[in-house]
Amino acid sequence: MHSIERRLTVGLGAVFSGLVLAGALALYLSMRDVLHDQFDAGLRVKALVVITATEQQGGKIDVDFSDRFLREFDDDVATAFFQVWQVGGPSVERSDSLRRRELPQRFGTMKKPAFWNLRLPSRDRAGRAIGIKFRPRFDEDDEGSGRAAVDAVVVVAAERGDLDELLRQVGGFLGAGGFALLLAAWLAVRVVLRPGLRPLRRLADQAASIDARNLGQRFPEADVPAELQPICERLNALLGRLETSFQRERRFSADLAHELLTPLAELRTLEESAVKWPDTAGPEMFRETLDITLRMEALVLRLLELARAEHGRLAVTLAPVELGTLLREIWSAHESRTREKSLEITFNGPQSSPLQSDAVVLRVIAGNLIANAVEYTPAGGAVRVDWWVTAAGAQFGFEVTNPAPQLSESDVTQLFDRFWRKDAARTGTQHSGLGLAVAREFARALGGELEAKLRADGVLALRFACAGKGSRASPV
Amino acid sequence: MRVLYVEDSASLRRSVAEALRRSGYAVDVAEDGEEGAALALAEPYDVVVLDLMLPKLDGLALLHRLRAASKTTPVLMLTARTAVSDRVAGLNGGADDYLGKPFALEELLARVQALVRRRYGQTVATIELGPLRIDTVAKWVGCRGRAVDLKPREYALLEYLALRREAVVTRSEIEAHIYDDLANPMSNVVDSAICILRRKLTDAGVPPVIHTRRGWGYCLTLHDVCTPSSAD
Repeated sequence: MHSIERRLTVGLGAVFSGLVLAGALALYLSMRDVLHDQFDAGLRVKALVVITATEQQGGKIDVDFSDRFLREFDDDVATAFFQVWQVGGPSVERSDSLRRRELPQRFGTMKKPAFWNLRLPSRDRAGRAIGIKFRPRFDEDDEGSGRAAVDAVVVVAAERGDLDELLRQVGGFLGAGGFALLLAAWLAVRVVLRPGLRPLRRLADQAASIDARNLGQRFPEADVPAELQPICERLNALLGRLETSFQRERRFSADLAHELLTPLAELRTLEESAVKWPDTAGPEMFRETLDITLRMEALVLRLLELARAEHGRLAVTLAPVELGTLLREIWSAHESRTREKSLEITFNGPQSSPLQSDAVVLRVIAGNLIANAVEYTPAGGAVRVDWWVTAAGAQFGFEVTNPAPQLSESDVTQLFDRFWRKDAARTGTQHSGLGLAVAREFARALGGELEAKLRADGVLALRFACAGKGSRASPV
Repeated sequence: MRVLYVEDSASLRRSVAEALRRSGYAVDVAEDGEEGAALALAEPYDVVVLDLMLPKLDGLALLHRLRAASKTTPVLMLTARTAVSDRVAGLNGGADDYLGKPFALEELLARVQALVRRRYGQTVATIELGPLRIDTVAKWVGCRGRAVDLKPREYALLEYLALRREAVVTRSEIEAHIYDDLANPMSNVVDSAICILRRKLTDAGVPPVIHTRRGWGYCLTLHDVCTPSSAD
């Protein structure tokens, strides 16, 4: 599993390691160059001493050098060596420290001498050498004699053991310092990262503690780092939607249980009574049990309809429909109830309103809307049914409006919930509370949408609008 | 014993009320919370059987109203909402018992009977008074092993007097607890019932146990020493 803390620690550690390594290497190399330069400068001085002591006399090279000047050339010290050659000629002089051994002959000019590392002839130690080709000064007697000048080559070598040891020490110091720095950097990264990532860890812990039982929890939006604030806001919004959805599902389950358990209790009580007191069993009881059974059957069928519509498996068959006629027909089924409640009904729409749709599905949608209006409009109230069809039936819809003084704005958001009814007691046995949920799913099956709006004057408007022949349902 | 049954389902209301009546209870019914609350507050019921989801006023609100008015009538909640949270809410709200739908009729009757017993401080189902033995579960009355043939209303009257034995019970209390709201308060139904009950008990060999306290009412006791009291 990827951990941000681990990745940051590794990333920052790698960067720090690279920087420390590069810094230490650069420091080591620059120190080595400085020390080499200093060593080379010392070699050059020694070479100049030898050059100064060299003169030509009568076409011959003479080196007037004494080991007393520089003790390292002496046989008993033997940490430095020199040898002088006449160019193209033999060796003319060498230090006592060389004894009879030879130095390799390589050279540059006075301005740009040749430097190189070598194994010293004495005791086979590591050393460094300088080689210069030069023109020895003339002896006082030969000066101005017009004699042809000869050139000489001097090679001076010295032990570099001390230099190498110093460089080793510097390297060791830089290595140890770099390692200590890396360790300190790693600790610093941990110390800085841990508290920095704490809000993220808290967020993760809180998210892990949320399950279906405590969806009411919310992430803190104040006192969190700015980077986490939008995440908390989004998560809270998501939790809010999830909680609402869970509440609806729980309510649906509880409502479904209630809808089924009550008729079951009715049946059981009737039958147990008949067993306990056989004289209670008779046509009346059987009629009652039949009513209850039919009610349960209707409920189950409605639930099946709803389930099929919700899963897009509602069969839709398009055929010519006369919308105005259809709405009036549906209303006619409620005429007696309308008269009982003295409701006033108004129809508004084009006389001719042909379109292509599924009459059966439309009947369910409109039937539920109209039945809802008849049931819940207070006695003496006015119900209005409007419909419209655009040219060639491309778009059509209808709207049922009725006074709904018992509804509040918050009720409207639940109108399409399965089993939702304003009266939690579900007193009426004719209405299961599934009608509007079914109507909305059927509306969607036709490619339309059913919406509810509570106007300021307390009038509820249920509006179905459809874009003509479109439908999302598939035949079954 | 008088029971109020508040239930919005017409079928349940009818069948459960009938079952309670056949078990010897005087039963009043209400189909919504408001009507139920009005009855429960006005009448001295021995038990209220209450549905939770009711129109106008839900069962819990009715219960709160009842308890707020210091009514101690035992309440049996009867509902399809049987989640633990619902049961806890009901019991914490002052219900004495909780029964989920669908229920066994026998269990409902037994629970109602248990609540009645508890209301009168009776812990066992059998009441014995000298040779007289009353089995409140079997609704059976006997004397020295011989059954006394009583009609449900007569049994209910005897059971009520037995539950309040050694205390004077007024006529109005008997009317309130034994007869439902269909009984005519102006009739001498109580006196007639007492008279019939006395005769049947005497015929069965039971010594005189129902004594008249003039100006007060009746008292069930082996000794003719009673004190006036009120159950509600």
